Amino acid sequence: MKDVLGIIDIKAQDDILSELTDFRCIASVPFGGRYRLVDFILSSMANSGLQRVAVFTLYKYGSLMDHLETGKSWDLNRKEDGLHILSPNIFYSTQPNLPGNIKLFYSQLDFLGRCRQNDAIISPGNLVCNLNFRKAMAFHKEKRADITVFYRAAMGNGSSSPWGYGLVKSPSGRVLQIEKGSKAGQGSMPLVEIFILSKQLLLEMVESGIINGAEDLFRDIIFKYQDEYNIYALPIDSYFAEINSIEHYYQANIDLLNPKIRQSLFFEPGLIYTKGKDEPPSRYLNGSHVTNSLLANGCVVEGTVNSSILSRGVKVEKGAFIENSIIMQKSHIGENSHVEFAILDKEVTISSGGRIIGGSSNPIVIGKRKKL
Amino acid sequence: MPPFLRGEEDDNWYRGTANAIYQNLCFIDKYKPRYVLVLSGDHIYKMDYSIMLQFHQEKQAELTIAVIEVPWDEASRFGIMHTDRQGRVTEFQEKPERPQSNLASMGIYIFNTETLKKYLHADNENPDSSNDFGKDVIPLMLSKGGRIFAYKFRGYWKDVGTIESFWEANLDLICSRNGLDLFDRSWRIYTVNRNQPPHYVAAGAKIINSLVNEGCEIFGEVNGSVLFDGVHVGEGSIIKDSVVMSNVSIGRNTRIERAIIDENAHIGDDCLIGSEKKDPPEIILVREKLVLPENSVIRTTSF
Repeated sequence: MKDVLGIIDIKAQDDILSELTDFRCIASVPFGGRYRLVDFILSSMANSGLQRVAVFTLYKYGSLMDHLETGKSWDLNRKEDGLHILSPNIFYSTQPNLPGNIKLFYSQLDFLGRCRQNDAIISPGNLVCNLNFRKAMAFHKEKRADITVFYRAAMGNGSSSPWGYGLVKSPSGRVLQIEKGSKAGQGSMPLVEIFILSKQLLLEMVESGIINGAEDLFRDIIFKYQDEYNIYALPIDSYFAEINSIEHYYQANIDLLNPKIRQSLFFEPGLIYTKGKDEPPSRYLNGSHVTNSLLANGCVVEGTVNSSILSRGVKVEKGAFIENSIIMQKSHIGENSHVEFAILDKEVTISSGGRIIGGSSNPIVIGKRKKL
Repeated sequence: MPPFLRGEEDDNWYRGTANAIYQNLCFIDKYKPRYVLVLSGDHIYKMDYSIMLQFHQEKQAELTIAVIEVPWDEASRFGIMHTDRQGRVTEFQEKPERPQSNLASMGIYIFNTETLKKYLHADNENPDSSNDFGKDVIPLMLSKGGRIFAYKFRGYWKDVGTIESFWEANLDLICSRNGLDLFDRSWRIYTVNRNQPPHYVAAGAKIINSLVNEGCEIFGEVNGSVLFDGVHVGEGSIIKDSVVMSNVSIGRNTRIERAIIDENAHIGDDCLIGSEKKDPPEIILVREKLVLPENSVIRTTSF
């Protein structure tokens, strides 16, 4: 797997998670009490034996760089290869639309050409999954595929692919057709945004894409010219969620309360790594009442928490009541306050007696460092 | 600096605390520091050594020993210092029967490097010495009129040299008012990261007055206890006043009280672990990787 380059393509999905993506790109949105979304695909790549991973950023990547550091949490702080965070080499602020990934890759042609790896796995940074790519690489080689794509065999989250593409394949795994949007359905499998292809093919696509005015590698090339490529598909049958909206984000968090999902997502086939914080264990005081919830380290709980996820360093004061909510790092829930169906970003303060109540189908989002 | 890496002689394992440093004097010489700070690895406390060093410099001391006031009735368990008004040590008694002071040595020393070398060489010349700082080196230095000062420390400090004190120190962490605030972000205690997910508390679980680490799955009741990472507590089980280390699994309807369960132990269903002796408490230690079958009962440490 040394010969495979990991590419994490952090797309411009500006307001996709409303206030959660005000200050950060989607890949560095906190998830599951102690992770950032990027941890899942990055850990999958590291556990699969990839030694070089390039993270293509577009903007708002300050918090992502702070999180990834040198890559040491993923054992990617290496002399040879390692983790590369690539900022866009383009002036896009003057352009009416944000550049697609073809322009981004083109702006790093020098880097891509320099990499000694001959194959690439390309993934976005908003996937919640735990994958092993070794088998997929062997399959890709065995089938002599130009491109290997993935589809969801078991539904982890929602019934239709949020990405909106589906595929029809032969029993051997050969892709007969990739379909878009509403046509996806009857006999077609929801496609996942991960591709395996040779670096040579990637460079060819990028160069011809630039000449022909293509923006997006998948939409404008792979999908459009699918008949020209030998495409194979592999199923993902473990837990898989694509975070493209607040609803998906909320649901995928709540999914973690299911012990089977937790076991499969956090332990199989490898562990999910994240930046360490050296927090003490969480402290439960007299009077605390916690049920069906996940708590990271460093929390102090004196109130009630039901069916919720608390990140590191959250404080729940006496008489506070939290239910069906996602509370991020170092938020402070004051005495006798009530938080229900809410997503609280980092360092939010709910003052004593405060009430934050969202709807079960549309949880309320409170932005970073807000005081209510 | 493991001892087995040194020398060819058979008897070069470290004999006492002072001998451990004597054997590594060449390491100290390599860096030529002006001062040497000597610490123990089994004490629980938070201290800013730079303030102690400042005290050492101000007093123009050759050796500064950190001391803490202990309850008079416990003073005979410690090395006790007598000081004059300036804080200079006039007498040192190792575990005195009738202590005349309650200033106990914390085993934290700042030496001027030259002083340290001088007395370590002298101590090594003495065939009757046990090569220990408290028993040999400090009394020797006092008898030669060395400038030894006592630096008073206020705050939480615990020597965890026994099963009981280890158990107590762990349970002390639960209480927020003991002076050792684990939650102080300006003074973190760093440790390894085991890459465990957040801990899960199930619908029927009950946790009060406890510390719970990441990776735990709690279905039963945890009260007054400290749980390390990856501990599983089954439905109907009760863990009270206990320390449970990493990756221990505890079955259903098991009761554990005043115990230390070492890493990777497996305790079956319907077990009972805990002595009835409470004053002083008898702490039951379940060894690493021990597998206790269902219905096991352990009521005493003496088999």
